[in-house]
Amino acid sequence: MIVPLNGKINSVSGFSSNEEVKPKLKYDKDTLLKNNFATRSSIAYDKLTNAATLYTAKGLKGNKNANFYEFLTIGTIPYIIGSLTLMSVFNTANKHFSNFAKSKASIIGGKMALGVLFYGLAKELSKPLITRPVKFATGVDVDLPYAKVVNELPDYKDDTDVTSIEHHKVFESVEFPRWDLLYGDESKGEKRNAYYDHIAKKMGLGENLKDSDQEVKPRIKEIVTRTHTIINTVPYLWAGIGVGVAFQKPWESFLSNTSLKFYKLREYKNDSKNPAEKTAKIDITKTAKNIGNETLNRLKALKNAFKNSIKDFYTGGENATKFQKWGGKSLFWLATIATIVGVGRILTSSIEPSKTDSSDVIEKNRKYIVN
Amino acid sequence: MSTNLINNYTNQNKANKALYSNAQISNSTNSKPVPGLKPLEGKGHLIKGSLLDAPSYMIKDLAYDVQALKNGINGKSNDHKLGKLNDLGMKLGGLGIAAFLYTKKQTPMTKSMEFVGFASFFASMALWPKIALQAPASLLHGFNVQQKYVDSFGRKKLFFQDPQYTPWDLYSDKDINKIGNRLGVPKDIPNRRDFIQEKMKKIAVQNNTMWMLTAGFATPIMSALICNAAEKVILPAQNKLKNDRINKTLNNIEQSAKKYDFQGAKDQFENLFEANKEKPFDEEMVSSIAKAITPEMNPFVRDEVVKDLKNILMNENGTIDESFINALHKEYKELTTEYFSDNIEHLEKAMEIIPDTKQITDFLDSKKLLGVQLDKTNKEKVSDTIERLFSVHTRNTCCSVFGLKEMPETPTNRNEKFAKYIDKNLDTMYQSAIKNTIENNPGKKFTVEVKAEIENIAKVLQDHLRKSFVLEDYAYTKVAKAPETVLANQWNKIADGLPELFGISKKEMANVRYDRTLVQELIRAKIEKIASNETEYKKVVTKIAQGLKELDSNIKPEDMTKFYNETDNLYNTSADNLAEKKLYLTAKKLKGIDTPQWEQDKINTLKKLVSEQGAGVKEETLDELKYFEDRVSLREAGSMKRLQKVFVEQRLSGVKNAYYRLLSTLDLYRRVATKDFGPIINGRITGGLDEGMKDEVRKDIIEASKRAGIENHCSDEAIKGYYPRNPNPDLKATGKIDVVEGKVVGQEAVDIIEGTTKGVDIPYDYNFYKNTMQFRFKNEMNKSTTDALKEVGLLEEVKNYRTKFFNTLGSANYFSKLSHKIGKSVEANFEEKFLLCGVAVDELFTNIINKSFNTNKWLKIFGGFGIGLLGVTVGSQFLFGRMKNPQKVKKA
Repeated sequence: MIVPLNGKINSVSGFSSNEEVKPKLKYDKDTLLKNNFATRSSIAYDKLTNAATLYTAKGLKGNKNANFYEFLTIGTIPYIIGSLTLMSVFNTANKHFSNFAKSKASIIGGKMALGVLFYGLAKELSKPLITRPVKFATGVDVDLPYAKVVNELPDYKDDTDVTSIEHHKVFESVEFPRWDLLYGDESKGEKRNAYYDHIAKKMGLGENLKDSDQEVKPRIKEIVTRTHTIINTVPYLWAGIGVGVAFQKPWESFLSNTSLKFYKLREYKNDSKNPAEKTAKIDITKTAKNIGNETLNRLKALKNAFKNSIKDFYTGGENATKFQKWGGKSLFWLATIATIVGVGRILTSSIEPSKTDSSDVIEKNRKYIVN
Repeated sequence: MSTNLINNYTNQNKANKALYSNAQISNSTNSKPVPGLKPLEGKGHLIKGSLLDAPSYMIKDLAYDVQALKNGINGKSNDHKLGKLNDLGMKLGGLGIAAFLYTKKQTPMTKSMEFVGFASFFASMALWPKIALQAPASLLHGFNVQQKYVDSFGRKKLFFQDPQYTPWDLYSDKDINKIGNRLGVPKDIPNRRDFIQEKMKKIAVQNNTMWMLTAGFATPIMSALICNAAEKVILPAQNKLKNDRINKTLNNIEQSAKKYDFQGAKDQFENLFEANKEKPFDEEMVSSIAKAITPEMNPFVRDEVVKDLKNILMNENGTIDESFINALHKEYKELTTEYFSDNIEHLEKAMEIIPDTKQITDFLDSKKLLGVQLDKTNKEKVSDTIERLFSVHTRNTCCSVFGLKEMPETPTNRNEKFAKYIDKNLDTMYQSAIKNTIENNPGKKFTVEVKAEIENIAKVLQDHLRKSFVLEDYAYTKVAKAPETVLANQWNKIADGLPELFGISKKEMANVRYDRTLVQELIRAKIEKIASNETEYKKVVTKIAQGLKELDSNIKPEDMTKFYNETDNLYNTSADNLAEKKLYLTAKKLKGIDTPQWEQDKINTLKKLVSEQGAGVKEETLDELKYFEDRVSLREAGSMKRLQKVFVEQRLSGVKNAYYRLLSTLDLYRRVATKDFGPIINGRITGGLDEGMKDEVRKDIIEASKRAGIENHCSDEAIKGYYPRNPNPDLKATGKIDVVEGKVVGQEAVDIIEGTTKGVDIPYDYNFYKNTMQFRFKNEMNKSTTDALKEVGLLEEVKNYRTKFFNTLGSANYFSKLSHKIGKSVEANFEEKFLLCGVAVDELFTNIINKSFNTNKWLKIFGGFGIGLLGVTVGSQFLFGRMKNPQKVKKA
């Protein structure tokens, strides 16, 4: 039996002969989650660890319960390994080179590693530039997560591990958003259309609408579609800027003067005249202080290198050619304008009448065929 | 398909294929099956195409992606299309990065590689699963684990993308059974199709997982390896294109020059004119004009243009006119204000006395000075006249202001003293003002006429610039000390092949790469071995010579002659034209000093003589030619024309000499290996290694020569050699030297590392130096060498090199070894001597070995890893799809 990383095993009555084993999952039904830092971190950790262990093991065994979600989640692995390999391609062999070649190659390798890092950072950090304004203006959070409880086939006769949790987003599918999770539970005293009322109010459709859900669903669908369109394209432009910044000259000085070996700094107590004893005692306080100072110095250097690199990226740096002067500017303004126009279009469209009718859950003019 | 519930309704009336309308469907009851209702025929199908279909699919996919983007922007899209946008975004982003990094790179190849890198990365992403998973799985299991299908809505998907939703009905029973047979599924089992499907699904899930696990390693490595291989194809192709392009420019300089558009310069000049119209020229304005009309001109030449323009535009004193009067009044007022600024009462009185511009005009008119052109001859006289006018005015006005009849010689009261004080000081003020105004009164103003004059000068300068840019582009592309020039590419082509040509193994490279002395030992051993084997020796010499000959085909000597002639023509013509426009300093900077015609005629006559007489030409004739050519060089020294030509000459000779030296060294080792010690006269060896010499000294000469060939830098040659040896050699003189495998028997290699020297250098031993040089460069080359070089057509060049080396470096003065001159002194500057020496052989090999080692090491690490990864991935197929077969159906 493959046990989930969290070690929790759920039991389905009738399948298990061991009644003492009654592990419980965190959720017993599909549950809407809050989109906050803690949840996002928890989901990211859960997905990453499962991708590296449980899902990979299931996939390699060809488990019958392996599904598309798991395949997609495993899909993060090539990104991580690929990034590290790309860094490695430009750095691993350098240590075998002669000193001069090593120093030259290490600078290129360092820039390449920074490029990979900044690519990922810029891509991920640019996404909130799109989703946050959309959420602020329309109330629609395209990243709203929920936990999905999945029932699986038993792997063998007495298998009790027949449910698992998947982490999805309510609007990850524009064709089948999980509208149901957005309704309030009246049995708990919640207002059924509370979420939709909130969106309707945000969009300026008014308050206390009779069927706010029917009013706003088509609009939400359009917002989500447009937002996904922008998110799937524009962050790659920001990622390009990340790479561009990483390939600037100011990093060369930083990279050639920065080593991870500064922790080896030592300060020896000077209280003994015997050289043997002198070397045996390390002044922890002074060593720690030195490491602290060195860290601060490096952070300052990092800040300067980053600041100057951004400047050089935009201006082209010293002795820039015409192309170089305009290369960085063009990329920056392309990304900025694409972001502003993209978000602007989403926001302006949210106050326009929807192009789709609320009854267009199935488009009448379209022929539906299975396959 | 596994859950096609609608099919449940299809058995009612198979004959009736007509569909119910939407209205009929809407009106029908929910529970009752409608007779004849059946879903539309599915249009989904598996994609079974060959590589030939790939372009068609690429175009369709691109159209789909564009449609997806359009739909997404309009807010009407579906999950599949939005998913495709991610791929599109990634590719567009990648293209953006490649385009940006393109701007950061300097050379065509590195620029191209940005796009090759981009393309190879995405190609690797697509190719890896096909090569490492799809192909082996297909061979082993009989089906495509990366099978794609198009659903009824035209959406292209991976068939095994979602194991819980697999459209199995796209596979016919026949196909499935065929796959089952290949998978070894027994034929007589219940639900055979289901079992085969399960097995296929299992294999596909395992392959998909393996894909995800390996793609991260494979894609960057595969991409890097593709780029590595692509460089070898792209560089020669670009080199050829570049060379062809630049050759065309030289053949049509006029046409090529047209591409340099100086519209920006013209606009800038117009702006300057508009801003300074009718204003007198000053230094700043002249500098700005010079800068505007000479875009991208060499700053040293531009300095001369500025000086010339100043001479033309600012060397005349102007006319006495309104602007002169204004300037004089302004200057007088300013000086007075400054002088009396600490006493307001004095200042007020002084200001009352200073004449206004009208009064000054009247003074000057009264003496008919208005409109007078100032020049050197009348400047002083005019100045005196104006001063007298001012003196009278100041005294009279001063008396009037202070209420005096006349200015007293000796003031008696405060008022008189005050008047005297003001009068006296104002005299000083106007004298200075008049002098300054006359000196600074510009002759020319920026008028329309002067503008036209400057435009004429600009035209000559810009015509020159355009054509000089063409020549500079030609010189740069062919021979510049920069990556990817024609010369650099050829250098690399020869150099990169040397380790293999000399049989240096990867292990040997790894062992010696850090230490030049280790490289010396290695390369010496290799050359000795090569030199001992005629076939091998000829092969090596021929290969290097062919490389050099190829350089001549890329940079043809006749093209170079054309380049030199074009340079002469351009710079001479431009200089003459500029001199006509009075830009004498610029003209001199461009071409230097003219050579008198008789000298030029003499040079031409001598050249013709040398050409006619060939090898039999007298030494005196050559000396005379060199004498006159040196005179021309001296006149041209420092000129741009000379610089342009020398740049090309030096670059070419620097590269060629490095390889001539290598060939020369190989020949030396060959002569030693074959005991070809020198010309035999009367049965005795002569030419440096005379038979009568002591054996030990003869061996030292050979050793010194062998070492010099491999190790000597220009400085070693300049100090006439440094060779520690036994100062008291053995007297034995047998006349015999034994050589085995290229090594002289009994000659130990002398270690010259400081502190471990076994002998001493003997600086006064001229004979030793002379004999070494004689043996190295004067003795005839070995027959194997001459045969090989002759066949390639490089014999004369190498011979000339050796002669030049012998004469130039052998006869150069050296202060501490005054007698060490083989022939009469030869004039050669340091640069010439440096270029003659070329790069030391051991240094050449140290660089190449390091470069080769680095490339090999990288390839070993990542190529090895890539192969290992491929092996593991392919091998994993044998572990995939293992399932226990169901029990066979028992026959009744």
